[in-house]
Amino acid sequence: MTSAALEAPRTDDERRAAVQEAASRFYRRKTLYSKLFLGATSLGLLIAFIPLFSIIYNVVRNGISYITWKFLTTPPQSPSIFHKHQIGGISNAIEGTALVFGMALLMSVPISIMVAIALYESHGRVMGALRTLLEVMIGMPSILFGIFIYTYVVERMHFQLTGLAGSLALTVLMVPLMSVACEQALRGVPAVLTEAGLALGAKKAQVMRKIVLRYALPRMLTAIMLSASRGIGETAPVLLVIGSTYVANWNLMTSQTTLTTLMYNIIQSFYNYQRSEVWAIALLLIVVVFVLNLASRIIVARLNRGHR
Amino acid sequence: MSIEAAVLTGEPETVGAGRARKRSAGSDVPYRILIGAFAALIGAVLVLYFYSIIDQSIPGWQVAGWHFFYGTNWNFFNRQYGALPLIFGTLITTTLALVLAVPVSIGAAMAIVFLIPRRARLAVSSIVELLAFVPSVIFGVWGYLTIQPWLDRTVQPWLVKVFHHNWPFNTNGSGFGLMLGSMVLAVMIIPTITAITRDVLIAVPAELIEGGLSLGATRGQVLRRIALPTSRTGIIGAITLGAARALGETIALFLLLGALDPNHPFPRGLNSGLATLSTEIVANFGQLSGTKPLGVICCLSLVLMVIVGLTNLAARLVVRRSLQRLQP
Repeated sequence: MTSAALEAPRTDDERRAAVQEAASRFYRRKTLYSKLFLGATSLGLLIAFIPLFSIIYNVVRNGISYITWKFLTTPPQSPSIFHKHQIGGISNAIEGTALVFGMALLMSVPISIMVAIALYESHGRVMGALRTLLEVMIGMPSILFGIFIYTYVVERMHFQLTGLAGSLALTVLMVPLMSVACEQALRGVPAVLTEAGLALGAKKAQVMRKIVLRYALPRMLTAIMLSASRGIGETAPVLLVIGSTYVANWNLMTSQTTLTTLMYNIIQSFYNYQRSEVWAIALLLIVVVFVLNLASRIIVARLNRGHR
Repeated sequence: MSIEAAVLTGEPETVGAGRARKRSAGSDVPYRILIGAFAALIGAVLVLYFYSIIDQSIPGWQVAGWHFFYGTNWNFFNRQYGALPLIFGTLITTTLALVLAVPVSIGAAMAIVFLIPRRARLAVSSIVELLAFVPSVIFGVWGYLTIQPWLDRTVQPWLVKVFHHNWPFNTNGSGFGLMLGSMVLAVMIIPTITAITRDVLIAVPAELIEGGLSLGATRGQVLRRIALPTSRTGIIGAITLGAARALGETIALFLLLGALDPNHPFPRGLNSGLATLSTEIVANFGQLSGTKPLGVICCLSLVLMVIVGLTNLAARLVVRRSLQRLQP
């Protein structure tokens, strides 16, 4: 082809044919590159999917056989060489998670909503600094919240390793995330509504309570659910301050075991059967997290449809 | 003067408006105090957070000294506090994870934004983001019970054979180590980078894309020559945020990285074990006795905090600036 192109085409027909061929060659190469590039991006998407499916597949396949009513409601037992399958249940961890995480939610939800309102209402430099601080805290390694609670509450205030310390660690961890997300929800309220309220002579507190909060409630709920699903899976900060226990004692002022810390403890077990028990706990956790996630996504999708 | 007139003239000193303003300001005070108190509370707690870790690390600095930053002999049990291998471990695991995760994430984000039909976009990106909500301990378990046996029995013996025991596969590892850790870490940060890159790509003005297409460029060319350069800063920010998440990852890496070899504090290949700042915090927390070890733990925390905090701050600035530039 190159030699043909170098020979000066004589007639108009030859010239036209040469141009056409060059153009189609260029076009074919161009579309080939384009297809390769698009193929590479789809490959990326495919690879991004694989781990999720692998995790879900393994968790369900290996975990489902452990889950019985007895497993959920009895305390754990230590296996021995002769009784390798004697692992008991995980009632202590379920109770611990309910207690520690429930307490953390009780503390962090009201605080986060108030902080979100504060961020929403004020525009000063101080609040700007607070917002930046909160955003930096969101990205902080979660283990540092455990270190903070350990150094301040356990070490300085001579607290024991208790469930309450775990709740505090989770609270400090969740509040930045929750408050920034809730503030986003508040910002979604149309200015027309708040201005109408203010124009009618309502006070700011009234506008907040009767218009903004009411309007933003579903979105705030999703923000809280998403932050909570992040918090319930945290291991490191809780692990440092919570101690561990074998019985479900429903007492925040004693050591507790949560689902995540129990996973951490038994995965290093000497016994295969007990080691695989973590899949069952992972299954419980993943179900909780995904249900929270899906529910919040459905709420958001509903809302979007309603507004359109 | 009527209220309309006051608004029009912009003159606030009318009798009625003044009174109304004063009254409303007066009754807003409790509300302002309430929300201000909560803001102050959380601000105080966060300041306390920094103060507490810095304050508790002082005895640690007295023990470890400058040796902490350049010493290579880390052995918590024998009170040898040279943390350079740990800092290196934190950086190398993150770097390798980024090398694996960045191409995948950018490809996935581009496919989500430009390839997938608009109707399926939400569903597909939700599935990818679901990965971000899987608790990190489950990634650890998955790596520990699923990926590690696979690496140990299939992948690594083959790699060692292919590389003839040369670097970076010079040792027959146990499956645990740098390779396993950074693979799982990459999986953990893919959703973060994908989600932010997707947002940045969506913000690329449609006129640019349409202009490119109307000039006869193919879709691949438009993506590579127009979409990528336009959103470059945003993507860098996304990568940095992913890096910040990887730098602080604790429990999964603790389960997957194996043990730090005291004779070779820096990993000799992809099969060798190592430790990072955060895994070493967890590993040694059970051995605390007296204030000095806690001080050293706090030194580790402080270094981690500074590294991650700076990375995060930089990432947020970059992302915000690029989104502002694209959406004036």
